[in-house]
Amino acid sequence: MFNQIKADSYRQLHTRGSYIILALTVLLSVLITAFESTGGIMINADTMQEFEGSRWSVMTGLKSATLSSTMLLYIDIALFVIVIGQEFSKKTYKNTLISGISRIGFILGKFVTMLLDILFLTLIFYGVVILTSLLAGRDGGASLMSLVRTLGLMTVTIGFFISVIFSIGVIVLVLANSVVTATICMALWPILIAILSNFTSWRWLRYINFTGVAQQITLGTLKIDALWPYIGVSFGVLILTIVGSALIIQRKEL
Amino acid sequence: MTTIMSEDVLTITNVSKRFGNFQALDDVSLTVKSGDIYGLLGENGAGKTTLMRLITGLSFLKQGKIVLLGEQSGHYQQALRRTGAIIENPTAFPELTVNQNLKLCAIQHGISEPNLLADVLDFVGLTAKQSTKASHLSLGQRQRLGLALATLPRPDFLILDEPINGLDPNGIIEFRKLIKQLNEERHTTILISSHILSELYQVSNRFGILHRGRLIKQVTKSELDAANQSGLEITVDQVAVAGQVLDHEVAGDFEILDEHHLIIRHSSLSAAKINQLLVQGGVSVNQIVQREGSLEEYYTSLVAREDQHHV
Repeated sequence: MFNQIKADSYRQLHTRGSYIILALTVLLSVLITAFESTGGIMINADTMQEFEGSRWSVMTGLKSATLSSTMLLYIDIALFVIVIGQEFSKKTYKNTLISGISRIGFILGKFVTMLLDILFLTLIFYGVVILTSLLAGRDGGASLMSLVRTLGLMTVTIGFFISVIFSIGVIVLVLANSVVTATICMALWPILIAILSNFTSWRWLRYINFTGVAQQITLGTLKIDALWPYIGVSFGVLILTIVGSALIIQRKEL
Repeated sequence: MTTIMSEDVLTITNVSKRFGNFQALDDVSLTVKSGDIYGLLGENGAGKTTLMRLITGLSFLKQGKIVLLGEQSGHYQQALRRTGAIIENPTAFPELTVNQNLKLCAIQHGISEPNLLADVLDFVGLTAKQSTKASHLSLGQRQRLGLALATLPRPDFLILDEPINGLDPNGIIEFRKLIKQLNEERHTTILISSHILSELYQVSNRFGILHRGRLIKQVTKSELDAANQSGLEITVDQVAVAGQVLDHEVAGDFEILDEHHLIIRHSSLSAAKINQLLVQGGVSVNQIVQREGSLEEYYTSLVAREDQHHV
């Protein structure tokens, strides 16, 4: 599995798409911060106005970036295509699986690679927010410690929850053998949850609204103490999708 | 490379595979021994690829038993690490160069020998193309890259599914040489399928013939040649004396056909040397003719008999 992760890292370093993803992440971050813009799925107009109307500090930039993190998901989907999608579309998984790696090792290796990539990109996303804010001459808006804590918390939270959506993409990819179906599924997930939440009173939907957790923390509607059910559900989904994908791939005609 | 001392590299026992109503494989049993180049013959849809996919775990085995390098299918620990394969088409990451694809494969296998990549590139004749993206390679070059990827970990066992498909005549000759080299120099046991029977005949020493999912015959090259009466046919004045000379000189397997004809099936000696030995032994040689056995004829008649049997 570790060899697989190393091989995937090597491949990404030699793939132009990886650098485009990095550039887009930086660009998104710069645009949000420089133009004091906020936007994302399930973010209402009042919230956006509140942010846009206030005096921006480094902290406002971090919060605003969190509210716009659904955009980060859409950029990260390209990462999914590079790391695992291409294995299926080009059928290179045959080489990988014949190399002797177990099915669970293959799926877990891909997941860990994507998780590390997402965490790295999210860190870059927030890092550029801080850098742009400082270049624009804005004040911190909070103590340095508080800024660092927010940066760490948001990176881990957003990275983790995006990876849960990716794990759903993995099982769809393995089931449907279609990169297009998997990417559409991942792209539509936050939108569908948002629509269903608006039209139904299903409170349990909030636990699978993976992109909304970090936003709720930012808006103060979800306290850190109340985070555990969300984390529990997400871990459950992760285990189900990873083990499920490994079992499916074992019995599938590849 | 681990040298395989046990006789059987691959044992397939009563393997069947069904896709819906289509019986792709029906109770197939075969054995590939260490050092073999085992040629798997059969028409399109006979089950060659399905069998190879089952061996490598790309298809799920429900019925029968496969033992690869001493390990049972579904419980492979090291067997696949010691196996290289090209199943259906060779695959590589198109945006990576030849060298990068090989480097990736080396990382996957945990190989860090510094000269191995250069050696493999040289072996398959792709040194000049090492900086070319895989997507820019010709079909023949892609096949070579596939072979390079499959042989990079120095496997004990190599599975090649229709490796000469789409190659031009030069490419076929080169590929044949590579396969022979792998078997003779690196002692790699090879399972190879093809529908180009003449090519399979030239490289393989054992054959398995699949027809409509059933293995209808396993035959060695000697048995095939014997059935086809192929070899060096010599016309002499005294066949008994000629037999004694050949026996004494260990000229190879031979068979006396009648009082003036004998046939040498396998010999390490050239026709000229055999002629010289016979003349020196007092035998008058009237004619030496190389009679070629045709795998195609053998295959066609076997399949026809099988079909007739089922009618």
